[in-house]
Amino acid sequence: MDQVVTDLINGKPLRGWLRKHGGVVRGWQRRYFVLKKECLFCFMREDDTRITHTYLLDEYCLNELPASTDDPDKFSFELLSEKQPSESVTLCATSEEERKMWVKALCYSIYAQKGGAIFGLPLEEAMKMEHKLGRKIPYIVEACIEHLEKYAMETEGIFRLAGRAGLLKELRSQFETAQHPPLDKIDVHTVASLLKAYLRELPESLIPPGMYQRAMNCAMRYSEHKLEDDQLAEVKSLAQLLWELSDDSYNTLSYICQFLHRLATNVSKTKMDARNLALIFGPNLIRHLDNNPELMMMTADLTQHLAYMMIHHYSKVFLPRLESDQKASSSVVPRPHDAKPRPTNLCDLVGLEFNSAPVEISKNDSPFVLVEDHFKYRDEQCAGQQVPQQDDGAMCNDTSNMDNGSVDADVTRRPIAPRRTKSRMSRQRRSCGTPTSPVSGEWPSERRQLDAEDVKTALSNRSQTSLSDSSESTSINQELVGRPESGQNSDGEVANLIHAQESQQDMQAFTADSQGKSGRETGNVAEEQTSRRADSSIGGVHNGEGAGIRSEDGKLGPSRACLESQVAALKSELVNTKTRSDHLISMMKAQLMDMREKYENRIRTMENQHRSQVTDLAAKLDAERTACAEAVQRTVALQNQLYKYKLLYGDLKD
Amino acid sequence: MAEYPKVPQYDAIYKVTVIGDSQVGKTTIIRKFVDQGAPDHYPPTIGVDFGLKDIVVENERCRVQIWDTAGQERFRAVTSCYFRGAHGVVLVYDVTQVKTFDNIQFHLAQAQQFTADNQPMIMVGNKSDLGEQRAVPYSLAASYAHDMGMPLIETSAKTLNNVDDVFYHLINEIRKRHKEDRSGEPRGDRKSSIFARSGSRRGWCCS
Repeated sequence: MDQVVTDLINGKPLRGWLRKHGGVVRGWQRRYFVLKKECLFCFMREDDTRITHTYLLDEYCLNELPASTDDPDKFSFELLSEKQPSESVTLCATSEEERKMWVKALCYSIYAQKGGAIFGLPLEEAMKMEHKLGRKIPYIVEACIEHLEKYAMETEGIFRLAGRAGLLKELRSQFETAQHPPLDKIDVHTVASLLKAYLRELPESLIPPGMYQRAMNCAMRYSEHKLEDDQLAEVKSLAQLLWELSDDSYNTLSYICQFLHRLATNVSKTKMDARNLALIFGPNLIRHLDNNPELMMMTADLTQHLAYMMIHHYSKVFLPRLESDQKASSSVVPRPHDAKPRPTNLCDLVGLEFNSAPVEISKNDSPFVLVEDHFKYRDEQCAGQQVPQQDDGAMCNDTSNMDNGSVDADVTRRPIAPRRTKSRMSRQRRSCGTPTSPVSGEWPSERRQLDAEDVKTALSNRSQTSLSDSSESTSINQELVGRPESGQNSDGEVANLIHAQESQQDMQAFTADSQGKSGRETGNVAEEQTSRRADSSIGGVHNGEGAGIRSEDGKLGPSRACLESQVAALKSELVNTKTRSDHLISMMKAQLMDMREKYENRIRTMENQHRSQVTDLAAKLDAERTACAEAVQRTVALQNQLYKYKLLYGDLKD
Repeated sequence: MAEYPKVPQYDAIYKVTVIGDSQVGKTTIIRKFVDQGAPDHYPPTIGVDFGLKDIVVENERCRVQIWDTAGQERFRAVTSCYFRGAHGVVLVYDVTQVKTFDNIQFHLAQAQQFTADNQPMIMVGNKSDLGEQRAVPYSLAASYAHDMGMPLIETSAKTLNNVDDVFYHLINEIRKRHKEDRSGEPRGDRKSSIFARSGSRRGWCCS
């Protein structure tokens, strides 16, 4: 389940078949859906090149529907449009699991930028949002603990007693949808359960799995020591270990433990001493990478000891981190053996299928090669003239990619250097005009705005391409770009821009025809096609229509799109093979060196042995030889003697 | 954030489970295999730990995923979980401790219970550098391993002697098995495999 969100964070789209109910056509239809960033695309078939519908998710809110009794096969959920109720759609998965997966993914896509979807989101990711608001720990943790601090310091059995499940679910969904409900009227046990649930559902526990062995060994030694001095020594080593935690984890952990430490002093009223609290919080604070319930049961005592150490010896374990310390600690990497490559996510451990095993990709996996290659390729392709710009914002890029017929849109999604600088420039220009103020009472929707910007920059760039010498268009663009915009009115402006562009394109096509330069012309026409196609899909998004334009591009699109996608596919294949073989070569080299060293060692020892054997043998041979010579001498001497005796006494007679 | 085509970093992944009594050097063998410069001493493993290493075998990049189980008695119940899905098993004993060798029988029985038949296994006598303290003679262990239809390798994790060989041998054997399986040979044919425990019980031996 958590994998879905991680994939989305890494930019991997979620795809699959769903049944859809709503829109223009009534009744249930089976459609192929692709969820990417903040857009949900709908296709007729899996390999379809044309999008039938695009849902811009930031206009929607998600509603999970309870399973209806008369139709148990339907596992449905709704996307409700805030602006146009007619755009609302009901989707239906084939199993409960599938529904959960989609709901989780959609929830992330819709609410993550608004500060929601925090359950199951990596702490690091969640903190990016919190940092913007100047928080050092997640809002939910702070809110829960503040509430408990106010009302629960003397509640008997706090944390041990479970909260109300229904209320908990409601609270959870409110936090998921970034509503930040006031907790004042909620009973303390439910809030305590909410906090525990949040900690439990973090994909990585606060003490990350990489530290599991060392932390647990600390706890084991602590539990084995009888003397207090020894125990304190272990506490100290735990403190050292926890110092390696990231700032976010450290602050959060410290905050929680501090609260528990204070809570534990009220044992006479709460009946919850540090050990009791530790038993409850242990498995919430540290978990093994392999979430095996048996393992959790078996190590329950150790996790309890660990949590006890952190709660009881709070002041000895946690030290305030200063800003400078933070930097120092993040740069220090004194990890003895845990720094070595270890599986950091479970898919590494579970994926056992051959050749299709999930892959972990580090971000710096020779990106330069790719960028350069692609850059060159683009250069050749467009021979000096600018290509319709696509930024990494979701909508424009995605729509055009989908249109290009490449089902696997990842392949074509690569950074293109000129575009980068361009869009960044325009962004800067814009930001000069608007003082961006994240503190505006509501949660910042900066990423969302960025996407709208990207669309606009892409559009403006495109119009610059088609009418590069038209000062009019640039002025329009500048005007548009320079104006402070919010996400709300962006739609209208995009539409305006589209209209302006369409007329420009007509002009452009006309001039191109009249110029009659064949090479240039084809390029321009193709250019125009792509831009118009992208336009049409965007237009389709916003107006819900635009069928006329679409049918046109249906005729013109395929061959170029097909070729382009083929080229892209081949290119990516080439790159794949190249990186693969590079990797192979480097690995083989390393192994070869390894082997060589080993064999050289072996050869050396064998040579030594051989040499010593040779000398041994030679010595032995010499000894033998001398012995032999002596024996010969002795025989000769004896024979001589015999001969002498024979001469003296004559032959013996039998 | 830019995206790049995802190139798999390996062609095949093999899961290997390492079992044996506590303090025989399972973790050290694994860490030394993963990284030659790893330290010699480790605290007891809690529950289970992992090691990953990428190697090249027959022009294929293999990722060896090693599950390092806890040797301590108290974690016995949980170690059995980690045989599931394993492609190979490494049984480790300490050549200076007879008891650890005796317990091999127990570990082997446990492994056989939870894994498929004819699972590739390998027996490893660790700490072979402690020559004078040796308590388990090589010949005895070798004949036992031979009877059980598996090879025996004596290693020294401290001096890195034979550590790599353990895993390379095992991976080779696993690959051989997979090839046999894939080529669609009748299952009965596998009896001739050197790992077969039935019939002639011929073991493969190296070192």
